Amino acid sequence: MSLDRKQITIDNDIFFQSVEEMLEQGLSVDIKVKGFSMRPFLRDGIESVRLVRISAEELKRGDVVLFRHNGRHTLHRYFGIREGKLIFKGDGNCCLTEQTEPAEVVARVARIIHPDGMVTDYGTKAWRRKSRHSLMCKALRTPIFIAKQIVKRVIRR
Amino acid sequence: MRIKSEYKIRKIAGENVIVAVGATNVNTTSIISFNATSVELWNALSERDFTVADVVAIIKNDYGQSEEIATRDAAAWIEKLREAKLIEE
Repeated sequence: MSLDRKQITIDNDIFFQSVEEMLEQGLSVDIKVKGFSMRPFLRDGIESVRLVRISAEELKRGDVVLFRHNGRHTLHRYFGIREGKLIFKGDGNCCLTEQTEPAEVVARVARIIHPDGMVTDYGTKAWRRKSRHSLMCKALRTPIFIAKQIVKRVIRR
Repeated sequence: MRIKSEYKIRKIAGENVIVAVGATNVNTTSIISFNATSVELWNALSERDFTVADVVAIIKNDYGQSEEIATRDAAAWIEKLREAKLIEE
C-alpha cells in the first residue's frame, strides 16, 4: 500500500476550469503567476495573485484581469473598450494586444502576494506605484523594440 | 493530533488535492495530491483528534493489513502530513 505524496502538473486549461468553478462559488482564489508578459508588475513563479470574480461592466482601466482569449486563460492589464471589445495588454509585451468579448472576463487581481509573505492590495498607493513603474517600463520598452527592429532591417540591407 | 481545519480535499483536474480553504479563499499556490488511501484516511480522521493507533486501526480494518504493516504505513502517512505542515499536535 503506497501512501506517497506526489507532485502533479495540471494542464492550464483544466486548472483554470477548476479556478472558475471556485470563483463561481463566491470564493477568491490564489494562484501562482506563470509567464513573463506582466513583468515587472508580476514575475513568473515569484508572485502569487488573489483573484476575485468580476464582470466586464465593473472593470476599470488599469485593472489586471484574468480572461479567456483564443481558448486560453490570460492575465493582462485592461486598457478600455473599443467597438464592444475589451482591450488588454501585458505590461511586459511591447506591441501585442488582446481583444475579447465582455463575456470572456473571469476575474480581477485583488491582491499580489510576494514571496516574503507581504501583500499589495488592489487600489492602494503601493499598487498604483507598482502599476506606474511597470507601465513606465512598458513605455520605454516599446521605442527600444522599434529601434531594434529598424537596426535589424538596416543591417540586413 | 489533528488535521488543520483550513486544509480541505478538493477535486482539481480529476486529482484529489489538499488545498488551504478559508471561509472565502482557496489557495492553490501550494497543493498536495493524495492517492486514494490517503484520501480515505484524511476523510476518516479530519475534524477530530486522533492518535497513531487510530490510523493503524483504519489501515488494519479497511485494508486487511497486518499490525506490522499498518503501523509502518500509519507512521509514514503521519510523517508526510507533518512534513507538509497539515497537522497540529
